[in-house]
Amino acid sequence: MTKQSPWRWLLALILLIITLLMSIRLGSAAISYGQLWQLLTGTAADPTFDAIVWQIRLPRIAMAFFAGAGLAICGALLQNMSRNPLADPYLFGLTAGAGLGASLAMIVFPEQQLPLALSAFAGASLAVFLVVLVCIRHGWQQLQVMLLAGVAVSFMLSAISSFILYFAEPFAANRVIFWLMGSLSRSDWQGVAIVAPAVLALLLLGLAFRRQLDAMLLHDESARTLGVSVDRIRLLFLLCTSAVTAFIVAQCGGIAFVGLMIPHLVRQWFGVTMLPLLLGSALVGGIFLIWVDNFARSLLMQQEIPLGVITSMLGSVFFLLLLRRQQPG
Amino acid sequence: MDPNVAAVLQLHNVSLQLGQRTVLEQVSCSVMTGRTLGIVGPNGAGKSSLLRLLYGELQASQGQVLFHNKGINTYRRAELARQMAVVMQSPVPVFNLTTEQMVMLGLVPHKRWFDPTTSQDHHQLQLALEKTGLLALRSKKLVELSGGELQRAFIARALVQNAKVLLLDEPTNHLDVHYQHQILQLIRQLNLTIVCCLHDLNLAASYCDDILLLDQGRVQAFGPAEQVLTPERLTRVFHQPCLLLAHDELARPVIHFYPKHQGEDHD
Repeated sequence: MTKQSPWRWLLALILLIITLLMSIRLGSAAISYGQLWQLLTGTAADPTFDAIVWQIRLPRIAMAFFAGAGLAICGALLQNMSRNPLADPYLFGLTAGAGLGASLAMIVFPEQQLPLALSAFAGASLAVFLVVLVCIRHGWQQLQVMLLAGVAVSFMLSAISSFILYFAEPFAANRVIFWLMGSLSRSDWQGVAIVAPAVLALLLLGLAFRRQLDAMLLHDESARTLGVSVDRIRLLFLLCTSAVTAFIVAQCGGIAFVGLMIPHLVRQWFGVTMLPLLLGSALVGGIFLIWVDNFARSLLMQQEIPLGVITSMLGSVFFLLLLRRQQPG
Repeated sequence: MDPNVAAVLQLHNVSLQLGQRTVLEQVSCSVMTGRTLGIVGPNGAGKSSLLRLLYGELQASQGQVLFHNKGINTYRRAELARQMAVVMQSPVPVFNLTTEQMVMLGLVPHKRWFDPTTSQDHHQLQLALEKTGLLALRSKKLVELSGGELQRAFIARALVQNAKVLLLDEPTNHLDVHYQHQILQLIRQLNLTIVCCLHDLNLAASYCDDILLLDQGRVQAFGPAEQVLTPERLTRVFHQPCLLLAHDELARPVIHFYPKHQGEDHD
């Protein structure tokens, strides 16, 4: 557990600091470490650099960190709750549902944050509802059923949102790509102010219920004999993960596979119980998405690559490896 | 039974209906403080269902299940879990916990919100692992444990749970003879009130104070082991001729079923 690997936590923290410093410097306007120091201490001479860092780069990095952390936490919670190692906000259809809700809100209430977030949440909840409906009838732990249900719901909802977008706007391709693949290019402090508290709240909630969630790793009935209200906790966390996923999707679009990959790595490095898993997922997920975004904005000279292209590429390989390990014999 | 000893668990005319099937019919019995009750009977007699009624997982269709003279369903889950521990036949988890982590789950009903794990808790963990002989295996993953070790780990969890009542569902299933006795000796040493479903009548005869003999959801007999386990009754319930053999060195008789003679039929 936590005690056995203090150096790994230290390493992750150091990595986070290095990541932050390197990411602030990265971009079309070059910033030296000396200028960076001046900026951070508020003694900068050049106001344009100041604006670039504080208004463009920092909010984007913060958003990358919290979105990555949030998606990884959601994945960890979903996996442990369903005792299904393939659960993930994206494969569960949450991301597609939130995308549908968000794209509807964008058309009906353009440029308003609150309806966007709420509508995304409604969409994500719809997706959960559909998947849970299928899963309850066939049993939670049947990997194939949950996967197929999630993928089917996911495809259906993203098809509907693409359809709506094409009808609503003549040049919808960009929008569609955004909702399907995600991007951090429109990050601002306002968005961070929505996502960051939501992610932190979910993290705290998960830590508060960590023992109950650990007990659910064994068996529902066994958890109940330990005094855990299994159904209530599962419902609570399904709703909360939907909400957090929805807020992230409303700001950053649909970023795939972060919630699947990160918790698996964290289990190997930090442990399977909730305390190390949640904290580790937050740290590693955050660092991971910052780097994905760094590559997305610097790999091609003039153009940004959608985040989902990179995460999907890594994620699908990871997913195949995981499936191979899951198969008996 | 001694009327001065309080009944911990009582069933009053309990019937259980699952779908169309009547699983239990008019079952009455009680579990006295500090005693060990064995639930025995042929396959499908309703042993596990009865146990699940006792820990509140199933609800009686008729009749009452009382725990310390209060309806079992009036207890909050965590409240019940602080007083009653259950060892059931659990599948091994997908995400692999270590022995130690699983045993620590016994703390769940005792902790709220952000309560940290204290040195007192670690002390209790240490004791539970010692008593169950699992100290050397504390960092092993659950899948690496043998059947007997896994059962002992669940009993260790119940010890950390620190409950006065222990319910076990076929704790000796799939275990070698040596481990069967080891597990039952272990739970007898704990000085708890115990209810235990058992398949093996000889184990029940050796380790249980009281026996509840079930057949097709009905109580065939209930009382002290030596009164319940008679050859005539066992022959009738198990449809197989039965002998009780007294042995000089054993306090309890040995139960032996033997082949039916040609043409003989006890049904």
